[in-house]
Amino acid sequence: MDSSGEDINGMVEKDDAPKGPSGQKETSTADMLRIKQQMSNQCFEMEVYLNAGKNRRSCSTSEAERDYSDHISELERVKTLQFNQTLALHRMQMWHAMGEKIKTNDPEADALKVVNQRCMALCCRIKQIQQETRLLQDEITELQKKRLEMKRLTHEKMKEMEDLMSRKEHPDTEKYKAALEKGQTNLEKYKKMSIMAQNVLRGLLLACKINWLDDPKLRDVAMTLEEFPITD
Amino acid sequence: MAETLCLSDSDRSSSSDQSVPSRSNNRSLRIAEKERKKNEAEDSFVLALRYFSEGSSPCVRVLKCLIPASVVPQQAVVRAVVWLNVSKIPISTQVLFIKWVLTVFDLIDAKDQLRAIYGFIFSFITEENLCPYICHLLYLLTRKENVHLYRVRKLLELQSKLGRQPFLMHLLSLYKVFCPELVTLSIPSRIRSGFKNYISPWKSALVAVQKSNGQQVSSSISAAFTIKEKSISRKRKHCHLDLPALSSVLNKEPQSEQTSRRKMVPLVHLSSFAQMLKDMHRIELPAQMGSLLGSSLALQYLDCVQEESALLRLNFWLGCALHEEFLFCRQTSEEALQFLNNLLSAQHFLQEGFSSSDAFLYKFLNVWDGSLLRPQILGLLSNIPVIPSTQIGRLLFEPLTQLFFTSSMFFKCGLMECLNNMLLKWLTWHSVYALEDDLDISLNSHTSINITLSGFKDSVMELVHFVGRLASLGLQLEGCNTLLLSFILDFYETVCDTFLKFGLPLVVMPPPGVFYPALLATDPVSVDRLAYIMHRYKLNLTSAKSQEKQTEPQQAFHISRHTFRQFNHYLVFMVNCLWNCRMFHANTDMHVREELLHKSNVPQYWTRFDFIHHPAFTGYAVDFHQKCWPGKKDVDVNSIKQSKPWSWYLEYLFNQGFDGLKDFVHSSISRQVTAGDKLQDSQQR
Repeated sequence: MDSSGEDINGMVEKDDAPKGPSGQKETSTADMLRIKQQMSNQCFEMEVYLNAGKNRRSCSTSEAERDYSDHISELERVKTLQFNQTLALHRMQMWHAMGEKIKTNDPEADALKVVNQRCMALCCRIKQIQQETRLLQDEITELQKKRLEMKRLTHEKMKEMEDLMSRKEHPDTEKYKAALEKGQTNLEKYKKMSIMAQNVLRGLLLACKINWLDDPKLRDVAMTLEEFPITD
Repeated sequence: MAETLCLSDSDRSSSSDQSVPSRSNNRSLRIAEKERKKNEAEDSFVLALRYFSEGSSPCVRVLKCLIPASVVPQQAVVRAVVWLNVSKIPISTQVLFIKWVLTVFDLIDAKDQLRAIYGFIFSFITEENLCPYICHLLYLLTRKENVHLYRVRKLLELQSKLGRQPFLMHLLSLYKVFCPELVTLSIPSRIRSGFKNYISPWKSALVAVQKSNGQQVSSSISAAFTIKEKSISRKRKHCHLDLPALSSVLNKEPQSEQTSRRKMVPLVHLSSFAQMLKDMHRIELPAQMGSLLGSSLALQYLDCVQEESALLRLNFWLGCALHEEFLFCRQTSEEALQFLNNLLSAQHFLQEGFSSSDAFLYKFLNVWDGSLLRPQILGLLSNIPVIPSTQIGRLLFEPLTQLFFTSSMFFKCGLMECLNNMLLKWLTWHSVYALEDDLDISLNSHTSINITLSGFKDSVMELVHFVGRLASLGLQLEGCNTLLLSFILDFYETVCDTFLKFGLPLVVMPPPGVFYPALLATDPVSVDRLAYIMHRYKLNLTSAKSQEKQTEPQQAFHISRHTFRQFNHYLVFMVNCLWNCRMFHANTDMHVREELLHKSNVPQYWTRFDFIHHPAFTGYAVDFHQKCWPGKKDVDVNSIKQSKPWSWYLEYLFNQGFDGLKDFVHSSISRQVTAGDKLQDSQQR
């Protein structure tokens, strides 16, 4: 069963319900009794339904939210339907009237024709410009794709280069491996020592609240406490 | 206040080494004099900062009034840092001094000496009151060489004492970027709060005073290929929104004899692209990362090298600047417009956004009024990368919905255009990075968010549905305004070609709230565009269907039956309406009750939207009639319906530039001798 109940066609009439007062001509007593019986049945049904509904009052928030958004979309759907149908009706009537007007060949019709000519010329121009815009936009999109592709390739190449550089080994690695390792451990050791010494000296200067800035020799030393001449 | 500005030469004589309270050395007098001759400005600051060392109460006032005329010599700052330790200065004054350094940080001429005393500055971190500001200062100065294990340990110790303070986390995250092996704790990837904004009021006051005194700071941007030529104007006032001048860390000219193998070339000294390529691995980034935004050469370097620490610092600076200007200050200035334009240019050049500007936008959308700097904000919005579908509603759709329905028609049009650009950029990104279904590809070079093909399709679908909803309701609110309809049709011109132009296996039809108003439009341009769009949809769908049959089942993508049905429904309606004269039929969305149609007093209502009577084409019909039968006084457009005039009329229409109609009619309507034929419905599965 479709939900066309709310559309422009008005309420769907129930088949078994009695016709409203406008369609009614004469009512006999038997008819009235029959109607009374029907109505009392319907009231009873409604009461039962209402009572059943009372117990289902509570529901979770998430359910309610889902229902809520469903109801909203249903509402919007129906509104759009009604809007579109009204739009069609209105436009049809309006333009029929205009068509009739143009046929009459009076001064107002002539004015309408002039406006019409102008509109046609403008539309032609608009279409030209839109065509150009479309072509240009396509070109721009192509260019942007190309640039982005370049960017992606650049990044790939940079990564490859980094990989290569990290993997590159000195040709004589095997020969000097032991010496290299020993040298590096020594370097680490002395590096740690020198950093520690720098730290200690800095601590001394701070703790004793020495103004090292005004003594040139001390200043030169203090300014190097952050450096380690051999970078990694 | 004016006396402390630009302390003149007359003060020079008094400010000799008596500035040191106790341990002055006579020998050093001569050396100090030599230094003085080189750097006049240092003395003015030294004089002012002398109050500092004495710890007297005028010191506070002097500090607050200390506004640099042009630059702040770093030697003065170094001296003051030494005094911080040596003299007994009250804590509040110490805090004030560090804040002052942070405020004028961009005006300090060079940073190498400050970096040399990094350890001394670091020692102040244990002082609880100073800690946040010291962290901020260290953040601005840190390089890889400064990161040591004992410093990391100190920071962690502080963290256990003070808690996970944001300023500590920031500094630790920067340390982590430089030396990930030393910092093992996990840091939340998005620390949006940044360092607390405490210097902004001071900065704006500083700017105001500088402006009122007509200070002209010449900004030297020497890097070649600057994007905005205007920014080299000498009259630019130096405020926190100006892109800082690209400068090197060292103030002096690099002596060529000292150039060793490992010496780094400062970015500012590069003047051409070829030079940059030559020295690619030796380039040293400036201390102020924000200055990179003004130079396309610098941006290109940054983009190629992808140095994480540089990006982190740049995003940090950008986030701070944006927050300060738009989320904290009440009034916006001319500089704000310029700044955003520069940012936009940088983003267009890089073809991606910055994570800090994205984060800022999500916050800003909730407080924006929709008209402040609209083109710039919408431009920045269109550069946002793909948002996962789980978050897109909360981050983007909710604030935009609110803005859309409470705004003017021009805002609606602007937003439509912005979302169209956003979609275009997402699709372009997809067509280049060609996602595979199982592969996680990171969204752009700056973020770590990954996305799969299905995730991407979800996001695109969410966006298209969202725009469809906005468009339907917007048209209803604005009475089917033609300008708004034009922007909406722009959007659907992008959507209809997602498969053929961008290779994304997705087809989404427009909602009824867009299709019908476009078909019933009073201007022929809209109807023509709709016809074009329907024609493109048909091409996309047929191509997708044929591809589905050809390729192997795994690679094939599936277009739902619902989409086909919807398309067929629209197509049939459109042809019936325009060609077959079957409008207002039952079982369509346009079903109107007979009684109502009779009430309207319009004869033959079923033909009222065909090519002759349609509101958009009535004028053409009349014009054609006059051209075809110039003698006839009575205009009876129905006479065009005969076979020969009908073809001529169609030719006449198509020659007006309505290519969309031409394509649509030729592809969807097969004419046979008897009129009123249904089209070949080959899409039905």
